[in-house]
Amino acid sequence: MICIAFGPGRVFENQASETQRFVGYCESTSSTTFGHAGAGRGDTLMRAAVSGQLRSAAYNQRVSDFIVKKVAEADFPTRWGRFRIYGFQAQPETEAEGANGSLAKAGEDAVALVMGDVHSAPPLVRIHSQCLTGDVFHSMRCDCRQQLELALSMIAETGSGILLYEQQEGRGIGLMAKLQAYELQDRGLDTVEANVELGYDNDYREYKLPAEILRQLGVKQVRLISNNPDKVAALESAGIKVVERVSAEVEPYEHSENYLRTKREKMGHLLTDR
Amino acid sequence: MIDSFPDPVRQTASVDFPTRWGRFRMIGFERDLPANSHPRRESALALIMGDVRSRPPLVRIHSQCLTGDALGSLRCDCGEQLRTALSMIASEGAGILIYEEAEGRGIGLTAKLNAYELQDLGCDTVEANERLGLKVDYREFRLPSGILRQLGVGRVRLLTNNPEKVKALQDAGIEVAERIPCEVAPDENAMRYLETKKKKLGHLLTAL
Repeated sequence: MICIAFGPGRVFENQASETQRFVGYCESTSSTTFGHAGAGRGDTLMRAAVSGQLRSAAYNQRVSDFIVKKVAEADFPTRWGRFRIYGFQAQPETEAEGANGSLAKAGEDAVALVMGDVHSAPPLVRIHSQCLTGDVFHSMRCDCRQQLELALSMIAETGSGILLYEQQEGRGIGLMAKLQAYELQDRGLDTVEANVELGYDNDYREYKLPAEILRQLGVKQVRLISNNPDKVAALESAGIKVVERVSAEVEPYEHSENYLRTKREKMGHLLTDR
Repeated sequence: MIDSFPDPVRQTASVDFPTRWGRFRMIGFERDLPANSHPRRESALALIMGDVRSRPPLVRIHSQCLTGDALGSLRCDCGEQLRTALSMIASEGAGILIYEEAEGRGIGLTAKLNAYELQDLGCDTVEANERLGLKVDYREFRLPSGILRQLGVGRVRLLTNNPEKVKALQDAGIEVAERIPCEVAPDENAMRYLETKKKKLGHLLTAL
């Protein structure tokens, strides 16, 4: 799905005005996993679509009322130890499936891996945004896989904690767009410049689904494994208290040094200057 | 369905891709699906190493399994198969890994987790899907075979235990010069899953 420009997070702004509650029409697919190029450039189109359609009460009603549901729970043995795995979905509150079924499917999925007791003390929590190239293929262009492994190891060593895996590939631009950005990076642009060149923002994530999942898991205070001040701020503003930020810094690869420098210098990530 | 007029497989980008297994070229592909289907488009990645033209290359078609590939699940053998395939390609210095978006054999992540719930209550993989009203496998491997065609690869040495994959490629006009097993040491957590693959789905597994 490419519900990015307005973000699935809008879903949860129930107190917001009618206008802000709008979730943004997505040329949606039920597949949230890969995403498609066009989300960012679509931003302009989507804004245009919104200004035209926002006043349509029926349309608004169909897309404004989303709720987050736990859709599945299972045993999850991994190489890091045994977790429970939960599937969460942001779903429309009313079944709006009809002629245009795609609207009803404009939800978003996330999974939560939970180990041990996460209630008697603020648990270790990692909010990991999908990076297929890093998480699956151990890409050395970024530090995503290393961070994922670090977080799972820390949780396993502690014996408790939560890893939330949200499907926000490439900070929300989608996999194919991320590849296009890599093409530009291969020609010398940095991460931020490449996204700008393609007409995207650098980061579309709002972390509202993760915050809601934590609430549903009954977790109000966390020790957040992150280098990203935006994640801390997003959780705090969603009412989840970050009692501690635990560094998720990893040893850079030769190929990821520029990527990490850009994270530090342009995105304010809390990384050591090497 | 008419597969390819006009050839619907598009390259979206081609990039340098250094990984822990070595350096690949990574190419993104996508293909539109019929107007009434969800999703409307499907995507896949091809990781290419070395010379894949002068003889039939090692090819692995890997269907996405987020839990196995990324999160280290021991419920299935996906992650280990992926790593085995990448290691084999790297040690040969040449080959192609196609990673297709067909989570849970095409049922999607949420449905797969629903099926896991039923499996925890005693169903096997096939029974769980049936209870959910789903087929056990929706994959047709059309995008992967289209990608091989675009890459100019007409003959492959296919890394798989799955006779359906061999057949699908051959039906699509890709010659499978050899099938190379992609069998990994079974984890105790995956035993029932693997037995079902062998007994009900006809996978060619010898280590059970």
